[in-house]
Amino acid sequence: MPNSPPAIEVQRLTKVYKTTRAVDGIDFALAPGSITGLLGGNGAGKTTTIAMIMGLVTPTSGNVRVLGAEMPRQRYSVLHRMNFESPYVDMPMRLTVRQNLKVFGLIYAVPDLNERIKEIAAQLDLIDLLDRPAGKLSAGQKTRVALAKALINRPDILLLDEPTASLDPDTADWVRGRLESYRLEQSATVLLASHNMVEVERLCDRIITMKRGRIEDDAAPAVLLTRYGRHTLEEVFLDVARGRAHVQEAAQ
Amino acid sequence: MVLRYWYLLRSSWPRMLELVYWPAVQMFMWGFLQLYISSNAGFFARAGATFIGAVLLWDILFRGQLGFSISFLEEMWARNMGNLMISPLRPVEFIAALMIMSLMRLAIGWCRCRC
Repeated sequence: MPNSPPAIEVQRLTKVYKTTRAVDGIDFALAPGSITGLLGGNGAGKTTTIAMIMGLVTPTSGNVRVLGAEMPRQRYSVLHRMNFESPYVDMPMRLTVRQNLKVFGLIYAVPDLNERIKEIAAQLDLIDLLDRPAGKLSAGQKTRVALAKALINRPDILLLDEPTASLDPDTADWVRGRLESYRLEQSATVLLASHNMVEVERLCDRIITMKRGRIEDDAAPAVLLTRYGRHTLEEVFLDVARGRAHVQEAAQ
Repeated sequence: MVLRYWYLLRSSWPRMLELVYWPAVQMFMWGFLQLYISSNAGFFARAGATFIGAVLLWDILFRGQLGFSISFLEEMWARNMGNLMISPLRPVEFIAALMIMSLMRLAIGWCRCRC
């Protein structure tokens, strides 16, 4: 949609922990309905950036706007339109899948919650697992449940931190398919932090690569491949991580 | 959030048992002592009974505080804090839920002891 305000807007965002600049003056804006990949090695600042976008961490300087609301100051005006999935958080293991989805559905004030739980369980193949405790699920099943929780409120903004980490290729491919479908159905804006180049290449319209808290490059996957003269995004990632210049810069 | 903790309590018999066990032990121990002391009408006997009442009240407050802390720690143990902090749940709502849960745990424990 031309001229619509960005769904997520980050300006001169910086986060300093004592002497470490985890995020160092980054700027980007994500258009509504886009899927953007946030790539970078360990310690690049991806998770800190996502935490600041979610309003969990207060920036040292700069600002973050999500759907027009300044984060974290105005976060409660938009949190009901956001959701997030990460392998680094779990859901209460003793509660069943149904109970977990019910609790989160109530927190997000989802209307017709029982119907919504049935709908999302059908979409993510969780019908047979609804009455099983979350702690008794396999890694792939837990990921599907976490995705169900992330989609239960039909968020306009979806933040995903390594959504297919430790999944087998079949389940990972299935999750990617669901994310693509969701983005098309809901016109949601998705920000995805990942190390999986196959996933990023498949899903993302745009890739932001980070290194030591700064943005190294920001372009569509095809443009990055041309710019670095590479055949795969993994090679581009290694060029960025190892500080190798663009093909065009090297030619000049 | 109260529903979340209620589901957890219902699913775990050690947690339910823990609500009843220690209040029951305290009631038996101090209750019998108080019965004995109350059979004496002297000043020191009455003072002792007052202290025993204070101990029982302290136990109620301690159980209340424990209920509050443990409910919060359940979120840490479950690695669920991230999900809650990104949700629209406000800190004051979370604290209110912890307090309600603390009172419910207290009520369950003491009512079962009385029965």
